[in-house]
Order: sequence, then structure tokens, then C-alpha cells
Amino acid sequence: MNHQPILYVEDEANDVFFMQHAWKQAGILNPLKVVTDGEQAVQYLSGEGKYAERDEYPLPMLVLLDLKLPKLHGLDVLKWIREQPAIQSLPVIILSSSNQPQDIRTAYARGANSYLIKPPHADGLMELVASLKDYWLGRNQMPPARFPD
Amino acid sequence: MNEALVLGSVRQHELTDAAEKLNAELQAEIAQRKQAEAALRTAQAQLANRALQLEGLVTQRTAKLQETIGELEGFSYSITHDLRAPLRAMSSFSQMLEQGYGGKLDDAGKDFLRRIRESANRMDKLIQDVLQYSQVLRLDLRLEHVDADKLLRGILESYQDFQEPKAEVIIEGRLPAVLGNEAALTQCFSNLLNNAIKFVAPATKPRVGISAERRGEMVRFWVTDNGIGIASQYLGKIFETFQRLETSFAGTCIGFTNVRKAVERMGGQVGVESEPGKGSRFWLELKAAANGITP
Repeated sequence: MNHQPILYVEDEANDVFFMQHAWKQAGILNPLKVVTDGEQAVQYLSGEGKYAERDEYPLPMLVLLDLKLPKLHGLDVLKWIREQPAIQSLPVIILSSSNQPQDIRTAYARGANSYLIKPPHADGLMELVASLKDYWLGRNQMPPARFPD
Repeated sequence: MNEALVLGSVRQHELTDAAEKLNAELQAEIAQRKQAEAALRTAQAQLANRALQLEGLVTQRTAKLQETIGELEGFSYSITHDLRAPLRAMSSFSQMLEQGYGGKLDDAGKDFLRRIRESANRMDKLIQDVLQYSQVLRLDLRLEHVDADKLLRGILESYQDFQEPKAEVIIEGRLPAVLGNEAALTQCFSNLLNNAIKFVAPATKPRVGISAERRGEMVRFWVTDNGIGIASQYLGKIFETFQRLETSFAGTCIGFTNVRKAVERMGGQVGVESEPGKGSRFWLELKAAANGITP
């Protein structure tokens, strides 16, 4: 069983802390790679700078993307991902505190695979991560790699 | 003999004089007219200029208004994201503290933690209400035919809080169609229903009745509850903008303000009748849809 990482793009340090906590509680073996702004997300995914070291920073199987990010907005990161032939079908889940119809509409229009609202409590996040593990890391069939290993 | 000739020549002379006089008068009149026309043209030009200025002013003001609306949108956006994040952290950390270290705390300590969480939750609710208020103010509430019966049954089906065993919410008869905005009306009824089930005496199951009556051009919806009721001194204030009532109502009033604003923007009215201990009857009135009661 391979444990490809999940890329978590989030600038709010507390949210990162809660996510790492919930990740551990849920017993997910896939490593959680964290970047804290939109530009870093692009650099990670395109393997720029230190992210060229793919043993340390492998391409993720899934991206958890916040919307309001420094430097590059989450919706622009999403747009960029969908424009890259190599990763255009990479599953992207939006995880935002915004329940604004405009954000949700734009996210789907730009190719988000799912849109989740940040739960207001630690308990809620625990449940969310558990269902993420069950559905996205368990049941869901990820797009096959473009070239067989 | 020459008399006639002299007379004739005098006559002719007189006539020429008269003609010349007439001519001069005519010339004067033409000059006057020309002057008047010139004045009119100047006035017209001034008017056109003024209209142009006004048009420019309207464009300018509209742009300014658009800018303000844009700023308001940015403000709401910032509220959703930035203000709610620290609250989420407060609430989550106190929950984790309780779960991870609860054993080391006595009852007073646990109570403090519970109060921190409750306060954070209440503030989160307030922020959401304020956000909703700004949306109610700026959204374009286009009026359409709304099947209130379908809308309310949909609301009741979507929320467990409005269903057995948590609450008993009954729609009396078939509710008529009204002229309103579906999204805004959903928000209004959700607010009223949430309020109706929220404030009941301890160990009392919320019972809520929803009915409608035709009043001339309008349809009045009633939401009747078995809650704790509202003291008469608060009745007039409950729908006022951001009115602060007793603590137990904290956060609810922005919700009521939102309902009033939304209903008013749809050309309707809201109101309430209540007595402490006897429940409340909130009403909401909107214009009946053209074909009145849907079959």
C-alpha cells in the first residue's frame, strides 16, 4: 500500500494545528504536507526550489485547499492546477470558512471536486477528517497515474 | 381742380409715412424676435449643458455607490474569514483541553471551559447574523411567485431540529402562494422557526404551528409557539435594528432585524403578539401571488 501525501494549503496556524491533531486521531497513514500560501502551493506542485526534491515532497494524491490565502488566492491556485496538463485531474477539495454562494459557485466552476466548510469545533473537524479518510482515501477511485509505474 | 391732386399727393405722403412707420415697427419686432431667439438658444444650450453636468453627476454618484457596495462585500468577506478563525481556535482549544485534560480539572474548571466555548459559539452566531444582515441589505431581491407551502415543507424536511422527536411543527392546511423572493423568504421562515423552537421552558417540547390567512391583497403567515413568551416592554423593540434585549435573547435580535428588513424589501410587514408564559405569535405579511391560493 502506498501512502501518497495530501497537500494541505492553509495559512492559519491554528487550523494547521487542529488538522494535524485530527489527522493523527483518525490514524491516517498518508503524510500531511503543509504549505502556508498560494504561491508555495504552486511551487510545491510544480516542483520548484526545495520542492524539486520529490522524495521529500512527493506529488500529492489530493489537495486540501483554503480559499483566502496570502499571495495567491485559493481560487487562483485551483485555476492554475486545472491549467497544468500533468496535474489537471488532481482531486482538489476546498476547505474554507466561507459559505458565500459566490465562492462555492466559482470553486465548482473552476473544477473543485468538493467544497467543505471548516467546522467550528474540534469535534466537527474530527468527524470531517474521519469521513475524508473513509470516502476520499478509502472509497473514491483516484485518477490513475498518466504513466504506469 | 388741383385740390384733388394736392389732396392725393398729401394722402400719398401720409400713406408712405405710415408704411415707413410700419416698416420700422416691423424691423424692430424682427430684431426683438431675433434677440428672443438668441436668448432661447442660449437658454437651450445652458439647459443641455446642465443636463450633461447632471448626467455626469449621476454617473459619478453611481460609481461611488458601486464602490461602497464593493467595499461592503469585501468587508463581509473579511468578516467570514478573518473574524471567525480565532473563534474557531478558541472553541476548538477549549474543547481539546476538556477532552485531553478534563480529568485534571474540578467541576468549576470544567464549567469555565464550557463557558468559554459557549461564548465563542455565541459570537460566531452573531458574526453570521451580521453577515446575513449585510446580505439582506445589498442583495437584489427580485419578486417572484413563491409557493409558501412547498417552501415551508421543504424547510421542515431539511432540519432535524424541526422534526420529531426534537419538536412538533405543524403546518395548518395548505399555505398560499405569495409574491416574494424565495431565498430571502427561506431565510425569514428559518429565522422565525429557529426562534420558535429555541426559547421554551426547561423540559418542554417545542410545539409550533404555521398557518396563513388572507387579508385583502396580502397574506399573513402566523408562526405560533409554546415558548416562554416575550414581556410587553420588549414587544415593540424586537424588530428594531440591533436592539439589545435581555441576555437570553442575545444574537436573536439581529435575526429578527434581518427578517424585518428582508420582508420590508419584499413590500411586506412583520409583527408579534406575545405574553410571558403563553408563547408567542409572530406574523409575516406579503402580497398574495396573482393567482392567490395555488390549487
